[in-house]
Amino acid sequence: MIKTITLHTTELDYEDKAVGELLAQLEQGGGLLKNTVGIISCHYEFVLSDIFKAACEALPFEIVGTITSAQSVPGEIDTLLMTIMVLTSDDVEFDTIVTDPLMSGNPGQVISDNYKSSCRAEKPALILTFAPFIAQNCGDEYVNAVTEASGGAPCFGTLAIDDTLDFVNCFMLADKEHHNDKMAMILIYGAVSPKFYVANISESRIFGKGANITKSAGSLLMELNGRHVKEYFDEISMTDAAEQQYAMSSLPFLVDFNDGSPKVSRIFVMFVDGGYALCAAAMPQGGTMYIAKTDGADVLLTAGNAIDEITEDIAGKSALLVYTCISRAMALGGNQLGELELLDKKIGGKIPFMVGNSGGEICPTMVSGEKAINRFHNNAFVACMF
Amino acid sequence: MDDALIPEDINGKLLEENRKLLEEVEELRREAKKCAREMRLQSSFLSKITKASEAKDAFNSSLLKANEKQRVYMDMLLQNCPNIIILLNDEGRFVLSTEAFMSAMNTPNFDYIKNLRYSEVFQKCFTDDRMAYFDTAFDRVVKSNEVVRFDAQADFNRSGTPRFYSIELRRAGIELHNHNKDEDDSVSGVLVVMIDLTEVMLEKQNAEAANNAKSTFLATMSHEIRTPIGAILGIVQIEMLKENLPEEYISALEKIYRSGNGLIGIINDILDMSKIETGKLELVPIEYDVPSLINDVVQLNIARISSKPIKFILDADAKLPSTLYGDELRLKQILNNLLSNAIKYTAAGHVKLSVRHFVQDGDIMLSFTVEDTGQGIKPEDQKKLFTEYTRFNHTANRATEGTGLGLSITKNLVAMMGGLIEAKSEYGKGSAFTVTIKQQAVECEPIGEELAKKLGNFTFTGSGQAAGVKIVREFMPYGKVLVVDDVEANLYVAEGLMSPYKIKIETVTDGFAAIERAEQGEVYDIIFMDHMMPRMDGIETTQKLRDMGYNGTIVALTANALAGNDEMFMRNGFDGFISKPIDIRQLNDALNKFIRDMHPEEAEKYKATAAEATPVQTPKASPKLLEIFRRDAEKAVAALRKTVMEDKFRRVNDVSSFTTTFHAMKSALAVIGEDEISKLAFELEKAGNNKDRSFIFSNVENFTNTLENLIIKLTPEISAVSDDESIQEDTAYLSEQLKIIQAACDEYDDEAAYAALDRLQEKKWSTETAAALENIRDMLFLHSDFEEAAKAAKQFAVNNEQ
Repeated sequence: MIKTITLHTTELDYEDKAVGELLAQLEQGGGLLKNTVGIISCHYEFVLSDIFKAACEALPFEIVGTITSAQSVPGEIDTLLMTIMVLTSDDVEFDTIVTDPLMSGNPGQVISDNYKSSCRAEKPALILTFAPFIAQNCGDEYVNAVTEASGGAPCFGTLAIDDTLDFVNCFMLADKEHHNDKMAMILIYGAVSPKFYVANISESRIFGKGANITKSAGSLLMELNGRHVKEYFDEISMTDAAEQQYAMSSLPFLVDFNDGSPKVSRIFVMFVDGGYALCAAAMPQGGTMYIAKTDGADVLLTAGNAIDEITEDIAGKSALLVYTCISRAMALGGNQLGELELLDKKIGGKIPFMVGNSGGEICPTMVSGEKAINRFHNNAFVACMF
Repeated sequence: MDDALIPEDINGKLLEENRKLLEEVEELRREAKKCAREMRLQSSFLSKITKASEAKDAFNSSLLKANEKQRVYMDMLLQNCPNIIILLNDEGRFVLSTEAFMSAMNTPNFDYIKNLRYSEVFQKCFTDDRMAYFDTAFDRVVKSNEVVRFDAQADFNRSGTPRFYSIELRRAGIELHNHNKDEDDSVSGVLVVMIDLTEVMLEKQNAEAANNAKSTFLATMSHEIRTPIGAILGIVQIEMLKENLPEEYISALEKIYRSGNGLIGIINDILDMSKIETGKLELVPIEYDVPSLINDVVQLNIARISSKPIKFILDADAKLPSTLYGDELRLKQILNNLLSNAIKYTAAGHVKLSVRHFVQDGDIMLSFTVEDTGQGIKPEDQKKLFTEYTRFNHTANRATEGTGLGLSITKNLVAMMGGLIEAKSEYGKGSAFTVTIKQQAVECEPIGEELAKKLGNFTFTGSGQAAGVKIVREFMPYGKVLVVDDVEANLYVAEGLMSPYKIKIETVTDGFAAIERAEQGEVYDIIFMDHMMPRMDGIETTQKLRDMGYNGTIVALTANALAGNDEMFMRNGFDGFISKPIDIRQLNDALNKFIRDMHPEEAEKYKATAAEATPVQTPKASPKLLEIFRRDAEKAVAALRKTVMEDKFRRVNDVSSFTTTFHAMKSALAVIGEDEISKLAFELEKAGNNKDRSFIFSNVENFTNTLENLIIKLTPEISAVSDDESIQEDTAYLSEQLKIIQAACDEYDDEAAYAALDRLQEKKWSTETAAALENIRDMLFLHSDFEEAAKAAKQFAVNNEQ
């Protein structure tokens, strides 16, 4: 069984004060058990101000996580906030792995090699994954590598995101350092039965008919219905919308892999050379793409539905970890903390939780036999409760 | 200043102030840092909101543009779609429609009918029954999701001129993805599509009317032309029945008969082509006897050879099936066309008909090849062979009979039978046409070697055989017929053709008179009823007779080759059908079937007399042949009489002498065309082989008398032989005139040519010379074939000098 303690501080100037607050909360939480790990979500300012480093040095357990633009723990929601979810247990064990740099050109191989050299013989019950935002890598590569290396263990996690949307300070945090090129994993072994929740876009927001992805290369969308993707966008008069910076906040896609698994959401990043559409995740050739229109109302609706489901399943669970895509926060306009506030309101004190914004979400969509169908998501609200 | 000079308490104060200042500075620095941080945060927040807002605006703008484009396209579709398309909701209220519907309704704006129920709008546009049908269709579509189609006339603009529509009603609906659970998840209705087929219907009606008009015209023209031609041919046939007619008179009658038949052939060709073009020509397959078909075709076409020096060869394979299933009539038409062409375009040499077969997929493929040594066809003309109205070598053939439709019709008939026709030709040397036709197999034996040989022995050298029908008319004085025809000439022809039968013949000129006779209790063995008569036609007359209870035989006579086939006449109460001009064989068959066979006892009584009945026309064998026959027949008569006499005194058990004589006479009679008597000879020969004394002695007297009568009959023709022997031909004069004829023909000077021929006619010539001169005259008179006439004159002159 896992005991969860959530820590937080807003102190950015005085390290002692910040550390004091964290330690006091830890003590308040009833102390630690045999095996402990901490998951951190914090604003980049905490790294800049060395509060992160001070906290890592003061707290007696491994801390792994990501930079986020906003985060929350029960009763605390803010952008300039550092939150740590402490998982401690006598029977559940936690191993952490930090990979080698992923800029080599074959990140999947790096992840796989690092995993296999560090993992135990048994399959973990859950793998929590934290990665920096690396523009040239596609998150699907990470997910596929972990899935393959672990033999289909369920994988849940996030890509870092900063609040400037310039994607320059999107660091992974581990080993008391911030990294822009390495991935960290927490492998959880023991009697843990995680449950996963994914919310993205309401079906009613899909417009037009689905288009067959007739040609793609990873996250590069090349042809739809046999026609050049730019031509397709022109015909549906969506080129202007797509060419807007941050079109992702209003022009998400739903993609059906046509393999029986639920649809996953994607966002469009930009048109690149050749007029092809670069997306933030893999666009599977042979799949079907649906263009949707999202807005704040739908963000809150879909998140609220997911939170309601979580609430129904809470009994007997120890922790709730949630990541929600930055594009959803942008769609909320001036109410960028709306989802976090909604969750805090609905969950309240029912279960310790931590929520952070994300630059890309990792969460299984279904389990097939003994294996999880792990997917990389965009524009999604993903939750893991165990 | 030195620290020792500063008092301690003042130093302490300064240090404390300094410390405070430093703390303040640090605090300010922290505050500044915080402010900067806050500003950064706010800036970033504002930036995010701005960018998100811009993206959202762009998206909404794009969406608006896209929706506007869709709306424009939708409007274009609704305004320009030529068909009436209406969208009704589930309650049947108007939701949307194309402009075409507005135009049809003469309504300026859809708003006038929007939300109205369809029944309110359509009530006055459809008839009551169609409106009721529309209601039913609507319900079916809404409740059961069916697609309902029907036709209806509708007068949407109440002009009094309804238009014809093909109407379809079908379900229409889409699922809405609405996150608001209070609103409907789907929208549905009924789509009504109406296609205006008025113009199409009008065109169809016009086309049908034109087609009917054409058919009626052809039927009428066919009747109007065939009727007088039928009369002419009938009268000619009657005249040709008369005995002891002068040679030139018979020749002239034959020419008239041939010309008349030619005209009938032309009309038939035109009618056939019309039927083919309109798809009305149908094959009527029956089981037929293959050797009979070959025999009939050969018989008919040998007659065409006339006096041309053409050898006709028939080569039929012994393995040919004896019976097949197909359209015998059309097959004969094909063969007649090919053979007639071969004979027409061959001046001398041979025409050969080969008949073979092979099996393909269970069907019999009959293969006929007609080869000739005629003028041939130039390579450039061969491509146009089967084109309608195409004829070649116009200068040489300009008077050759024919419309140029024959091969085109042949090709179409062959194609209808699933066959192929091929032509090979070498200009100046000859042609070969091969037709391969699919026929259905019938369980039967092959024709066999003997029959094939018999058919093959049918090898003739043209020597002026005239057209003629060899049938034996049996006396039927016990029979009574009524002929009903509004054309007196036709009555005359019918009477003339039936008079040799000694039947009682009554005639009336309309159906009313025929009915009157029946009412008076008159019963006829056959009523011959003309089809097309004014006031009351043959069909109506027959129906009235049947309604009256008249059960006697009624046979239709019709010149109308378009309408009417046997089925139609049978349906209308007729027992048979004879086409006009009256075919003597059909007439003979009808009289035999409905009179002779119905009175077997009387028929038997008159059978002996029937044996005396002379054929309609004796074949004109050459005088030399007849002379040979006469000598043989005289010998046979003597032999038979001698044996009969002997038997009176001493029973003659050995009948072999009879058998020999009968055998000899059988062949001799067949050679000169006396088939009926030859048949009797065959029966007697068979009896001889079976040693059936009784049969022989019962019939030998009759046979001998018949032979004697035949000898007497043939004597005038035979005497021409002795005439020939006594003639001294002026060969020099002949050569001189032939050269003149040749020169005149080369110059296309028919006057000079005829003048020379007339001069030659004033002198006596042998039969052979006369026939050759007659042939040259025919070439000019009938065919205007100057080239061939010149060639024939030249050749004859050369032969004469030799």
